[in-house]
Amino acid sequence: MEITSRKENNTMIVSVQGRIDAVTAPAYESGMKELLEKETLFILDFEKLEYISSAGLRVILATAKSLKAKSGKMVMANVTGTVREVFDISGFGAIFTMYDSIEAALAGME
Amino acid sequence: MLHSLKTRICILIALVLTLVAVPVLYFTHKDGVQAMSEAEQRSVQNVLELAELNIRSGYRSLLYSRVDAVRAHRQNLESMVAVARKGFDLIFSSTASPAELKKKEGLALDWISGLASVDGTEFLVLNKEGILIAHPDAGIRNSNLNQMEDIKGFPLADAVNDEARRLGTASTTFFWTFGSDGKARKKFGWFVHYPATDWVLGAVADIEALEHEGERKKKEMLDNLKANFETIRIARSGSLILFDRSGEILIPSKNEDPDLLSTLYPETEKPLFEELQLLAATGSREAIPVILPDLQGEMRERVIFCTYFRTLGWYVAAIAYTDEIRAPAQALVQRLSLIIAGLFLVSMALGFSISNRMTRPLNTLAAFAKALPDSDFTSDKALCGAIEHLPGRHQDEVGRLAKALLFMEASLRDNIRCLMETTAANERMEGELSVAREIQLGLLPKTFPPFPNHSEFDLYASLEPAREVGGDLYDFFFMDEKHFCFAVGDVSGKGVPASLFMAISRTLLRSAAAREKDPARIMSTMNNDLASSNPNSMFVTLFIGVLDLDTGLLVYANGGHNPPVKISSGKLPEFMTGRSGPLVGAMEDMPYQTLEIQLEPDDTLFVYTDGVTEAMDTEQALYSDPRLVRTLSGTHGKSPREIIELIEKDVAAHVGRAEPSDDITMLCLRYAGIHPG
Repeated sequence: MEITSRKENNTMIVSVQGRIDAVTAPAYESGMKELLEKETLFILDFEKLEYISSAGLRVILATAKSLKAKSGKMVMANVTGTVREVFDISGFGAIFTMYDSIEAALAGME
Repeated sequence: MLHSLKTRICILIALVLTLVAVPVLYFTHKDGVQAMSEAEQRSVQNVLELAELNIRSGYRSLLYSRVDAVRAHRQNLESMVAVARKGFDLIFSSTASPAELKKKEGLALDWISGLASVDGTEFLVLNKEGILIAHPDAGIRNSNLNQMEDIKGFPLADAVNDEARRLGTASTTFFWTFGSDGKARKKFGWFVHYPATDWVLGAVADIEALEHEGERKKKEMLDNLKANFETIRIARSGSLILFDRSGEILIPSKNEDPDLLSTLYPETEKPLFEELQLLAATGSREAIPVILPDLQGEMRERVIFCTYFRTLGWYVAAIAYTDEIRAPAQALVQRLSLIIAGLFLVSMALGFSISNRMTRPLNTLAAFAKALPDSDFTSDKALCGAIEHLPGRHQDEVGRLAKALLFMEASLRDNIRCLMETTAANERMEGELSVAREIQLGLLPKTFPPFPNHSEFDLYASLEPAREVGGDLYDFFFMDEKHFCFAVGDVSGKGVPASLFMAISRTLLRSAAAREKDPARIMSTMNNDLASSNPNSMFVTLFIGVLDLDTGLLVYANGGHNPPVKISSGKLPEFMTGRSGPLVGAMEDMPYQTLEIQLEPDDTLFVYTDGVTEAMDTEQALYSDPRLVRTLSGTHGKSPREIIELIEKDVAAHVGRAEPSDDITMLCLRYAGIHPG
């Protein structure tokens, strides 16, 4: 798993590549924790995310919750394929706002 | 043998010493022995030369004394002849007539003949025919002197007449045969021609005595030489032999067989002395080797040098024994060998003791290391007593090795103590976990069939945690007489945290179900309860179904759970994809909606967790939804227990030897419907 981030319009765009499972989830959590200390607006770009397990869902939920406590906001973009299926089954779509593209997400953030 | 350090050191020392000793001995033997042998041979030659000088000087004095004697005789004879001639001159001074001359001739001859012989000297006169006309011995007067020969073998009278008439004087040595005993005596004569009468007047002296004197002196010289030769030793027992042309030994050697020289020389079958004479004739300083028995009869090799002293016809042979010539060099080599052997022994002993001292602590260390695995590290008794003193006593690699071993032993002791403590803690933990597992599994209903008096449905469920405790759950119970509730859930994560969350979920389910009949409402209550105090953001995917046993209507809620499969007769198994809301416990105040489906008699419902569909084999390939459907498709009419056992077996076949990756939970419910009666 690899996390890259860039900032656009006061919003951190975090791209996650590879898998988030029980093994890589802690790395995602610690990586996000660093970013959470400085930023409040996030777009999670899952275009290159291949797989997510329930452990992955938990860390995403955990980071989202701690962001919520800081009155921040986290949306998702490019959730497709098997990841989308997992999101659908788990009902994550009801918890998070999802956009089809980063542009749409940025527009939605304003 | 070669694997011992001690042996290797000893072999190394032996090798080095041998490498030093071999060339030293070789070159000493090769060059030294040769040089010393040559020196010995030169000294033999020197001895020979010394003997030659000795002989030469003896001969010279012999010769000189003889020449002196001859000269004295000659002067004597010359003066005698001069006196006689004066007498003749007086007699023939005034001669007139031939008759008177004839008378005077007779007078003169009588006078001469009358002179007595003194010391063997005597006068004689011979006429031109060689007739002895005057001599003290009347008996031989008028004899022809040509009957005698001079030393060169010519007739004496002719030789003397010829020489005296030509030169005026003549001198000769001859052999006088007119003696009374008839033996030839050696004499020397001085003659002058007396022209007045055409006579030859002479005086002769007997030099036989002179010859005797010479022989005596020669014998004396030989005695001197003999005395000299006896003192000369070549090497230890080599010696000199003097022999003449005929091989007769003049000075024998006490160390050799007298017949040595007449022994046949093996190579040429000639007597040895002839070989030596040939050798001496060449004038070379070579030697000939001879192997002959010595006085003790032992065969020994000798080298014989020989020199020739022509004027005397003498040969001097110097005999040296080869073994004696070589002896000093051999003694040197022997001494060297002894010294080297001594050095060898001392070095080996030193090397042995040093390597012994080196390897003894190593052996101790090896024994210590070997005993280490069998030792009891938990006891406080020190094991290292045998090597404790080594670091202090050895400041070298051995000491450092001992220190390292001691350190290792101490570390091992610490580590093992630590390990034992950890193991004890782990054992305690495992014990607690197994109790926790019993408690967790105890929460789940496990009696099958659970309600034997209800023929409307049949149910079977199983839960297999991947670890000791798991996060999956299933439950079922009657809400009232005709409503039967059943649920399957999967808590995020594994192990103890998940099992605690599972226990909470199950408790909340029971308490919520006691108040509510609607599964969505039950789920919503559970969600809020779980999410309200959930610092770890844990959640549970949950399926809750409530079946009306009379009608077969199933009201259900699905919170993020895998879609159950419905197996009906004549149709492919199908997923119940409807969703009520998100994961339970993820976020508060989430809406859940109730879903429903009508079950026909003999319809079967298969509810499971993702441990089934996401079971991984060694290649990490998932069991997958399609395979589940495929396996379930032939199961219509089978009992729930058979179906679950079939899936269990199929999943196990898929997983193979891979580690179980997640808890596996299945619940299967078969609705039989209301049977008349």
